[in-house]
Amino acid sequence: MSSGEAEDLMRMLRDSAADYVNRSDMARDVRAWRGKPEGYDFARWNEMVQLGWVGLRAPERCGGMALGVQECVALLAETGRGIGPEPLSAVGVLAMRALAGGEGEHNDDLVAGLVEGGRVIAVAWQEAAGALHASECETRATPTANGWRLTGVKDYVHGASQANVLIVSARAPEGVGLFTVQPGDKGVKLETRYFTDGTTCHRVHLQDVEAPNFFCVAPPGKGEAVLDAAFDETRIAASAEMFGLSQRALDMTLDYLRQRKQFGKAIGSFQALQHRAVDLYVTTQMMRAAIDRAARAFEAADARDKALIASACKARCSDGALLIAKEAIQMHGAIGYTDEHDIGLFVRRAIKLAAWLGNGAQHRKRYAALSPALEQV
Amino acid sequence: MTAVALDDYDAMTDAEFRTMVRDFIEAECPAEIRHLPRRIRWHEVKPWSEKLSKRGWLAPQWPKKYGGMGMSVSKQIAYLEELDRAGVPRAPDMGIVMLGPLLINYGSEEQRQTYLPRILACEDVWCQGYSEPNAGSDLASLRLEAVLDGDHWVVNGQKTWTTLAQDANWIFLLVRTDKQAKKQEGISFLLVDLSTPGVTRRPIMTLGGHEEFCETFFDNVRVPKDNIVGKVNEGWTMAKALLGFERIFLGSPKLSQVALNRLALLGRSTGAFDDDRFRDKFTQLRLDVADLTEAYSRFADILRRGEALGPDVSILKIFATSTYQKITEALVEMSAENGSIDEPVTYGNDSLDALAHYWLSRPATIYGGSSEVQRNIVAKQVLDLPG
Repeated sequence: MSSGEAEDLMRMLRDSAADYVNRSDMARDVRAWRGKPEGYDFARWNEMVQLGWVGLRAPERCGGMALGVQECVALLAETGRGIGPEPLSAVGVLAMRALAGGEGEHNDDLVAGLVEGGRVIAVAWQEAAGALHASECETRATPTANGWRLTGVKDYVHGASQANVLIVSARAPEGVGLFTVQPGDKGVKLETRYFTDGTTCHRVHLQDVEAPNFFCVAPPGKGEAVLDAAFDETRIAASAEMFGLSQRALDMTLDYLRQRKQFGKAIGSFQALQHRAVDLYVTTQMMRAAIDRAARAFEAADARDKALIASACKARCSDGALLIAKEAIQMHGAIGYTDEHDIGLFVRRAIKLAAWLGNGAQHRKRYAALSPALEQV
Repeated sequence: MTAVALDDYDAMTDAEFRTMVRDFIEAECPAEIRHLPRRIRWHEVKPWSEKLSKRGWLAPQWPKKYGGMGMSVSKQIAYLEELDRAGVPRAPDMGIVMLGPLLINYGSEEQRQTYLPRILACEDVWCQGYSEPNAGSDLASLRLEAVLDGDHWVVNGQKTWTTLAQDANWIFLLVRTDKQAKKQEGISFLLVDLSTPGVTRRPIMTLGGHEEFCETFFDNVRVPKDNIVGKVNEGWTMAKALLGFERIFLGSPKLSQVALNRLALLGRSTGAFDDDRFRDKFTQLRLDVADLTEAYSRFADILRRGEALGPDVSILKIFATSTYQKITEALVEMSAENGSIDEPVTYGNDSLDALAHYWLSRPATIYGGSSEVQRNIVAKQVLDLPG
């Protein structure tokens, strides 16, 4: 693809996503589906599948668009503005990249299922809060005659409502492998909880669950590298979503500052508020810089650089989104503290995404630990 | 003209051009004037400026016709980045960066032929007379007055914060030539020889302990009528038009990067990198500089494409200067008592004067439009907030 064609494609993606977000009342969707076990409208998910969004990062042989991280980020920054409840990054990025990175013979079929819309796949890897790496895995995989038997408890699973396949990480003697199970399988029990934004957060209990070799996504010993790379890409994707929602939250706040009158004039004419609003704008522009930098360099980087790139990006965007969220409440005044005003939906989404796969403090710590000798700054 | 520029810069790739500049700096720019944590004085930097002049590299942004390098914006940026990278000091350069473009754009051909060669020959050093005691952020309220008397303007009043006026022999002034007009409309550009009777300069000591700028007084100073640049009463428009290219450089990551390198030295020498709090703070600052660098190159790309910068470029200066200050504050904090003494402290083979960096960073949020003024600009022109 020439750079001109690439730019055109990015513009098309951005425009179609912006159009979608503008046409639909996403805030109403969020309200309609929050706290419901289904989590989101499956018809709407299918529209996103048809638009090619779910298969954006999938290889062409599986019917995907085989686009890069830069295009993915451009799309998610737009859909992020809409804060829809659909699990685009949990399924379209995290599960997709885990499948694409693994070597399982069934992986291409699973990816094709995601791209066509027949399947929804989520990744159940996490156990303890604050985990950042696939190696933090206590769930066991015991060899059987034709596969593995899985036992353990997974938690904080994103995007598992309406999923018909779960990718589960488990530790075998050879190391961590990635296996697939179905929610209805014997020994699998899903417990539904909710994140603050009303989307589902699943705990998955696995008791002697049979996972045949054929459906193995990555064999024991290979699972860690595959998942860690998928996590890092998803961190950039989540950052893009946070950038989008932060921009929108700031736009709403600026509108409010222009319209709300007190002491006989628009409160946006008060310098104290103007300067705070500018600092939030600066924050969004630094989020943008962090995402641009990450998206450009990610694919060509080795594993350690991928980690550095993703942590730098997620640290900036998690902290930025949380700052804009709390300032948006403050500048809206009392109405901003009510559930009936939409600004709170953005705040809740920011809180969820900021914590997902590691918050700002965790990622700065990870960055520092991985940094090329600090002496060589 | 002293057009020595035989090189065809546009025929070179950016990489070739950078290598050429880098090699020249390494060979010709003495180590003792590089990476100075203060503004350099003319007597210290003159030999280096003369080398640049001889090479034809003193005025990168001027057209070749007038002895400049006549380069694309992309190469101008590369040139400045190479100078920055090597810690090459910024000479008193107002003649090159401000007066040159002013004369080239608005001056008469006679003015160009008179003044430009003398700047290139390092004979004339110019300073900028903009701010006054009561005209800082609100520059348009300036009052230094020039009244026509026969063939001369008679200038009375005072300028201040005139950077390195004590090293200059000429000054370009914004003067009030019409007291009745609206404040932006009665201002003109006037060129004044500082040896004219009635001009007095008083250097001002900064908190950093250097005499970086002056108060400059004008008491019935008689200036030839032809020393006006452009049309009378149109100085404000010209001054604003000149603020294009250089606006981005106030938001350059350079100062922050230099200070961050010093902070790394300190962390390394004191074992502070083993302390979690310091590591976190350092990492935060390091990522601030990295993202600033990315944002900066986005704006630089706009210039490279030949497009104009919008008012949003102000965010660079806001973020760059606050980052810079956070780093120098960390330098002082990590230096403990050494951060309360105005002298360098030896760390291994290196040395660090933490307070020198601290002092140097303080005015960054004040000059070139204070951070508060920049926020006003962004609030109204970018975020469209009222009033």
